[in-house]
Amino acid sequence: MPSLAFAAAAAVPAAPAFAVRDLHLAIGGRAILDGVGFDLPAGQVTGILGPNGSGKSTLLKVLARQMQADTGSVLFEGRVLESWRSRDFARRVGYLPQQLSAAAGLTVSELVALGRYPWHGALGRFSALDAEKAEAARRITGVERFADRLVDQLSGGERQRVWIAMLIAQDAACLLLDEPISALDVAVQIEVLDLVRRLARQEGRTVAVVLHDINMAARFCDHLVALRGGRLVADGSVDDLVRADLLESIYAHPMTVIPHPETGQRIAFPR
Amino acid sequence: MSALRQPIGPGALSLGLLAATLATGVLVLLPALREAAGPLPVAAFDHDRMVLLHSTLPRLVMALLCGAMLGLAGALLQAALGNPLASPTTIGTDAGARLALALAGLFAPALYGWGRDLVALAGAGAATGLVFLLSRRQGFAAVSLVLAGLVVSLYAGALAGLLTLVEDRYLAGLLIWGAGSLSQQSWEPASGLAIRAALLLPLALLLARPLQLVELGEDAARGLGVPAERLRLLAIALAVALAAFVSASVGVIGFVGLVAPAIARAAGATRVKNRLVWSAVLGGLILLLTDLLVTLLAGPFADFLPTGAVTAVLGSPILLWLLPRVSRGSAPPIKPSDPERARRRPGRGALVLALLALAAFAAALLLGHAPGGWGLATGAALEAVLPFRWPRLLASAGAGALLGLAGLLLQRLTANPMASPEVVGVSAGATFAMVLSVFLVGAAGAASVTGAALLGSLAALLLVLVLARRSGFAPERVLLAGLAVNALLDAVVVVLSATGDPRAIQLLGWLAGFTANVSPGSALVVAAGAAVLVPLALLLQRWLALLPLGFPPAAALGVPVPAARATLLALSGLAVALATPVIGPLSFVGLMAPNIVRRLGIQAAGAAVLASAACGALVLLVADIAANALAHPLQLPTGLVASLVGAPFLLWLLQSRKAA
Repeated sequence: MPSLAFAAAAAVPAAPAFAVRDLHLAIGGRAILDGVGFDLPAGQVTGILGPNGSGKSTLLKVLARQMQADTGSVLFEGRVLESWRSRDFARRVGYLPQQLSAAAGLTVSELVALGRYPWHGALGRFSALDAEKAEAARRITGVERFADRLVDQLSGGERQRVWIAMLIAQDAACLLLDEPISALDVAVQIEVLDLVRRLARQEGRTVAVVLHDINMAARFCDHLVALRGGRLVADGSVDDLVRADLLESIYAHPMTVIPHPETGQRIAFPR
Repeated sequence: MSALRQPIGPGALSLGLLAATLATGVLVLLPALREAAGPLPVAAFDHDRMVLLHSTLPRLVMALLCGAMLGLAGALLQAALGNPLASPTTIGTDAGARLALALAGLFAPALYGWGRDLVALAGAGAATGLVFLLSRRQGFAAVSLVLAGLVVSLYAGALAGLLTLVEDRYLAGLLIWGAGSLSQQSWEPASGLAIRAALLLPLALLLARPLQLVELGEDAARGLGVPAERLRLLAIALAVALAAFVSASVGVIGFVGLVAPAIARAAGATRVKNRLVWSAVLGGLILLLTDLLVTLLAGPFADFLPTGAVTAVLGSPILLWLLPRVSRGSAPPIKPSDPERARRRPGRGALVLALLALAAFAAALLLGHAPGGWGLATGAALEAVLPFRWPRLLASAGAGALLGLAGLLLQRLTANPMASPEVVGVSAGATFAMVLSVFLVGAAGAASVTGAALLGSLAALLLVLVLARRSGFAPERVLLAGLAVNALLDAVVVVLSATGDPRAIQLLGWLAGFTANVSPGSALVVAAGAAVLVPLALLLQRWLALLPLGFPPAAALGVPVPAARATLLALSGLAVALATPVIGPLSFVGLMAPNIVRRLGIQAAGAAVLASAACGALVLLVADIAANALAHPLQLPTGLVASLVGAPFLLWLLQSRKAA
């Protein structure tokens, strides 16, 4: 894994994972992305914030090559997105959609094993390494105990964990997560985000994650960007962004920011 | 993402159709009207005037009425079942009516005295009742209603088909009725139907709002206080009543019920209420315009040309024209299948099915009519019968495996348990080409007919692929394109069979799937096809597992989604193209085998490929044995008997499944 090589240098990444320049995208005459441009730093967890309908999911879909922008450019590892072969891209970039299909008729371990597709392809053998990665993914996400159950019989939270396990099995250097904790309880939310941060800190992976909870984002992300009405309105460190005036302008609602009584970390809540 | 063109709007489309209808109507009626407006002739009896007043006009009213009722029935069914393939023909109504009429005509002709429509209504009602009974244990879940409806409709259709085949002298009239003839001799049927429609229409509109909620999802509907199951039953019952009244008075005009809602949706009617209203309007206009065109073009033969069958000639092109405007979201979501059990070792299940198929092959090879009666053939006797038996059996097994495979591929691709080779147009392409070759070249040798079928199914497949290409082979467009192509080709075949041409009866035999005179050569070709295509599909099993997850996850994992869809579609098309010349387009093995396999809990993609192929072969081999044994010395068509063999098994599986 090349990503492991520069894990040590993750603190000061040389080149961004994604370089986004002046993206425009309109659907039915309505501008969804309106001149978005930023660098997604490699080896860090970047949180994407913004109110509903601000273009967060669309931005992630463009990065994941699920949608094409009308104009503008996106470079991944220095190459334009279109020039990547689809399996090569899938080996480097994993994407977790916001809406997860019910995966009718698949068991948990079958679904997780499907995450190895970019590595073995349509015809290749499911190797010992593939089995090992899938097993490890099941273990660290804690889905091992229902490995033989059908995915469509799981609860919403369990299903979300299984899909995250599939993404981990995919073993991509860069993860794009669209609201990965929306169906999880608080303890599991922390567990999952902790795992995500470990993937970045220990293995040098790049993560972009759409979140609604500012405090979760502040706690687990290294870097934050915020969208409003399809425009990038903030791009910086957690300390730069978690400020009452800035959050107010993002969410159009009065906010208060105070230090946490025990940790000192800034926490924000709506007034 | 392809840029979507703006929907044309159902209102504008209706206006266009109305203008065309009026223009044609004037052309048809003008001579008669001019005469009628003139001074009364001296003689008290005017033949033309009588025809205009008591035949032509009621016929037109009837067309408008029937089209509207069927469009409404189709829209109701599609909304209630959440499946764009649902229609009166697929829920068992039409087939039930047809079977009842055939049975009454053969065994109790006196019943006709009570009224043909009563007999048809009873048949339709019985069929629908059976469908309800079968899906009761699953709480009338949409998927089980759809499946039970399909199976009942197949079963009744196969029985009626067999009766027609065996007793063709008595039931020739049924062929015309089955194709839907609108010819009228008085105002009585039209006014009767109008009263019934007027009673049912307000009920349908009352259901529009709650049905919209059911479309949001059953749980959401229940949360808003709508009893989803009861509502669904009510909507279906209403649709069945509408369709049965139409069937009883003019015959089976099923296609309008399928295409009118599809056209309304493609034109931009998205809300349930709009869909109901515009389906009725468009259905009525399409049937009326078709009928006027038939009258205009066919002249005095119009009475013998079944309008119901010809509707597709007009409806299909409209649907195809609208297809690029279908947005991804506008098709009603296909209800996901209910949670089902999955086997721990699906491979073992597949193996058992394969061994059963082998055993059936051996049994069919050895068992048969010996001079002394029914028994095992051994030694010299076996050597004598073997050359007669093996080509037929090898062809049956190969065709069954191919159809089972094709059905599985299509159902996985479209995530729709109703998808099958028969629905997606490929079988119809084969049929069409064979009909053409029989009628144009005359009764040619088996080889040229087989070749024609192969070319025809490939051409139909190509057409469907081209039509669905712009959407990246999105499942709902493949289904709609297939549906339109299918209906269009079917129409031509039905019209030809209704002409009463003696070649039509010969054709009917082929349609039903006689395997008795399969040549060793074509048997080997079919078997070789199965031996190549099944392993090929096994190689692609990962795509089969990933594609049903939907576009985003599959694409995110690096699957070239459009290319993968096109490859699998082509594979299934090739399988059907090889199998159809042997077994005919009516065996429905491609529909049944994958569903049987799914109900058996064999879910993993690779095992399901093997199991579906084995199950298809098994059904056709058992059907072959039954076809020989049931009516000896008469040999029944294997293809039709396959429905009779497979359907009860599928029904039993539908019943025996414990709620998950």
